[in-house]
Amino acid sequence: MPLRQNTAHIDTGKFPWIFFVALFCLIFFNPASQADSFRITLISSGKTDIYQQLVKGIMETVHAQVSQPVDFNTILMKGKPPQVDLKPQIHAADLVVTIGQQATHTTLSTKPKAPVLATLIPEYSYETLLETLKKRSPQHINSSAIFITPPPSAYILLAKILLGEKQRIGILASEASIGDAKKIKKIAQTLGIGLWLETANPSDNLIQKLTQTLDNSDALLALPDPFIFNRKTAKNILLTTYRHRAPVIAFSASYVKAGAMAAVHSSPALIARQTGETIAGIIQSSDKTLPAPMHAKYILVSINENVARSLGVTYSSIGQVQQELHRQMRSAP
Amino acid sequence: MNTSRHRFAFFTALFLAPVFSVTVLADTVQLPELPSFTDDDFLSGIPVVLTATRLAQPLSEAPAAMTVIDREMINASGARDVAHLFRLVPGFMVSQDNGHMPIVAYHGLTSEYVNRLQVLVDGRSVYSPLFGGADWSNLPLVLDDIERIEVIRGPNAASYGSNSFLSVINIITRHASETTGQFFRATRGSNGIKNGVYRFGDSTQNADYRLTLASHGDSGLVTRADDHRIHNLRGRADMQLSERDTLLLQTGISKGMREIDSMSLNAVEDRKILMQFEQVRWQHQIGANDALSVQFFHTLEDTDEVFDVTIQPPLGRIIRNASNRAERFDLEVQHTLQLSPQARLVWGGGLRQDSAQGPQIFNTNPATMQTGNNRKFYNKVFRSFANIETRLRTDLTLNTGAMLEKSTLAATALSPRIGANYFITPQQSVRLIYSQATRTPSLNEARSNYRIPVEGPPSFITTVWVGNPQLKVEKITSYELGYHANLNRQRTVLDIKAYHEHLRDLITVEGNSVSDPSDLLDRKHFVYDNLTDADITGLEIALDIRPTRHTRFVLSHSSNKIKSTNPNISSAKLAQSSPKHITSLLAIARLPGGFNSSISYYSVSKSNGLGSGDGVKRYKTANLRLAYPFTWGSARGEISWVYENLGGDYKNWRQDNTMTAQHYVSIFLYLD
Repeated sequence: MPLRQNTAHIDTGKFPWIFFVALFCLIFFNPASQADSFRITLISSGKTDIYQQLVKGIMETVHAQVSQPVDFNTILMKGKPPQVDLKPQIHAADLVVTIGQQATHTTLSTKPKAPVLATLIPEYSYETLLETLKKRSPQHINSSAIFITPPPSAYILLAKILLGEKQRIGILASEASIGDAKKIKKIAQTLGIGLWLETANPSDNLIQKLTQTLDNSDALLALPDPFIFNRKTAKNILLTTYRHRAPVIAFSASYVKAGAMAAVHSSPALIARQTGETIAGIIQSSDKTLPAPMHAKYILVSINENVARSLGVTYSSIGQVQQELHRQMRSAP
Repeated sequence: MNTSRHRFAFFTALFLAPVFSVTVLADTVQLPELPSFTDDDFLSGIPVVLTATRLAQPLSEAPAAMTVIDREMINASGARDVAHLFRLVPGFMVSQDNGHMPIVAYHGLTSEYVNRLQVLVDGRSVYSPLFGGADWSNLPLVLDDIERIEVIRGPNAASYGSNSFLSVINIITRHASETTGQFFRATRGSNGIKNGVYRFGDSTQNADYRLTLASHGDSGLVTRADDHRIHNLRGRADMQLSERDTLLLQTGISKGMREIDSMSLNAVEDRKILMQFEQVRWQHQIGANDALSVQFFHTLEDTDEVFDVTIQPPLGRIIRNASNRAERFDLEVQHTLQLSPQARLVWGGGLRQDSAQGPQIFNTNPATMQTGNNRKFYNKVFRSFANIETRLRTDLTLNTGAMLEKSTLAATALSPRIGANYFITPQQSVRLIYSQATRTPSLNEARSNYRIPVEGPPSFITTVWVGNPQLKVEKITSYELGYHANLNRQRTVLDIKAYHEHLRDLITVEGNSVSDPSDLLDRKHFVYDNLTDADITGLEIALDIRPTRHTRFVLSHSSNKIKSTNPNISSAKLAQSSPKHITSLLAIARLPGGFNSSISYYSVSKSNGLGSGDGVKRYKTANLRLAYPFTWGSARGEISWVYENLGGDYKNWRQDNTMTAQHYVSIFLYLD
């Protein structure tokens, strides 16, 4: 199956003319470039190994699942807004796939004509972006997304598996995660798990709110919420919860390394797989429409063994916890 | 999709881009700055916060039986002071020498001055330099500031130094970042119960701080003259100096009055007390596996108590001045090092200077009959310690440690400890612990000379007691077999401790009198000496069950058998110095209508304490608490009602201590 990869590295500020020439040549003179090939512009927010791995993974999955020719035009950004115009490449594609927040931000702000599939993006970032775009320019945006995070039910189910259903779970949520928090609260009710939901505004004293949450709960679910859990606040939150001897169930492996007891999350390779499969589905569908936004489907569990041991939380093995989580998610309410 | 149209557009754009790029970029929608949350927050690392050196050893691997009193238990107990919380700890007897002098004792063999327990508040020893033990009522400490209390039941000199003899109580107050905002509490009850708390806390960029102002008092026991009123002011600041450095600053002062009714003088006087402290602790994270802590603190205790009475002729006027002042300076350095994923070393050293003075307690000049002797007596202590925690296998942890201590008042002493914790299953472990500890004589026991002039005619000096410079350290060797189970995902925690304690050279004054014909009042005086030996065997059970989310039962039971000898005290009395059986139960439940309820039950078999203790019968008592949490605007609050001593009057420690029913209402408001 013909699968071609055109990769352009865009340097901020300097846009080499050679790039246009090369691109022009590839598009018009490459013998494999046929009119019926499906053109995908892949725009990545970064060029680090993680993003490159994702790009590679997406292409490999598409390659394995689609028989018709697919052209990939890959653009690796440097993680900040490019000073060049990506519009031509965006408009020339049948599908634009953006990896990460910055690429999605840049792409959607060009009012793309092609459908856009955003991947590896936090749900809140994606939704805020769409909302802003719709307010400014009410035209229809043809986009969808594969979020970096698992569905909200995964957090509460992991908490249930590790801590049991009799623990009282606390959530501290700002407007960014209140939607997920409410969904989790409903699921918790169905599962018979006690859940304390404390809301916070960005102007609130975070530790004070966290203390209130921990006074009413035995463990904390840290949901993806930029106002509450970010690199600035991580340290104080982890120290405070540990002082309360409350386990933290978080949303990324980094938090587990830093001191959260456990997390349920995806990985670049798994997001790549899901993105590749989704792209294949779009190509193979008759109307080439985008599916609805979705959460990470393939998920992993990380556990900080030392923290778990110190908090007296026992479990069989990470593998078994993960299996159990997958099983329960399939039958989740 | 219309691919040819797209290609055309792309082609056009490609060539026109340089010309129109300004226009095109201007055409793009300007988006607001997104919060600092990107895919990087998921993909890249956060610095490790809970490094191995910060993590506490789980109870199942600790080389000791340990009880944790958490905030839920503190609230539910209905206790108005810290001392009464120890009713929830297996083996602890909480009595009263009077309404404002709680006695917190473990394993008996003590007078009202309990000095075989080490007590720390945020790592600062509040063990009195003069008499030993903690003067619970005077501590500048407010219940609402306490995060939790960890009680290590067993000797732990290897970690906490000398005087960590029978048990170590570690009171941990809340981090300043957790108490920002304003907190008010008012308590009013029968028998003159009147307490108040005001706390203010705030945060700056790199520091959190709080100030707590509190006052507590009541009319004491109905059968005694023992009112008290003590005011506290306490401040704490937690500062983040850098990514790796934190600084804790604390200070506190308590000042007040405690009424003393002297049976021997048949008079009542006020004891004016002052206690203050300052504490600085710097913690530095050297690397991921390496942390340093340096702590310095100073405490001052000042008591002013003078009885000036005329006793019946022919004896005349007696001025008993029990005033005293004690001070402590302490410096400690501790280094925690993760040697490997399986081994952690904690080692360090410390210097301490204790001093005490008192015009009559240390009256060294009987010939001149002069009071007002302000000579200071010192005890300087150097200590070094090390403890290695090794996980030999996933199911076997070994703790090996020792403390070496050299002091002015006693010979150099080594206190080793070795403990092994073996996991039968991941949820159940057994522990075997061998430990030794010593207790250094207090300045009172070693250096006092409590002499009181009596103005005649004839004038003479009566001596209350005399310290003994020849005293040796008290020694304990303890053997413990324990079982710890953490079942049903921490909903059921069971801990059983079987122990044998071999105690030698316990310092006792009771009954050890020396004839003194010049003392026309008593014709004798008492001298401290290493006179008591004892062997204690016992069993302690702690069970914490949470059957549902809103119910909890904390049960403790202890039984012991004391075989003890002292030339002046009968073995029977010594054996009864600790109740044979103590049971406590705290039951917490949420009631319909948003009410919280709890009942704490305490049953103590008959006992006969040393010192001021009398033989008292078995008693059972209970406190009932009902609380209603509410929100009022942006404030959270709770109103609670506590009924103390349900089940009728009983005698506690002394025959003239009658505990009666009383109740109080407390309300708090918390504004963020």
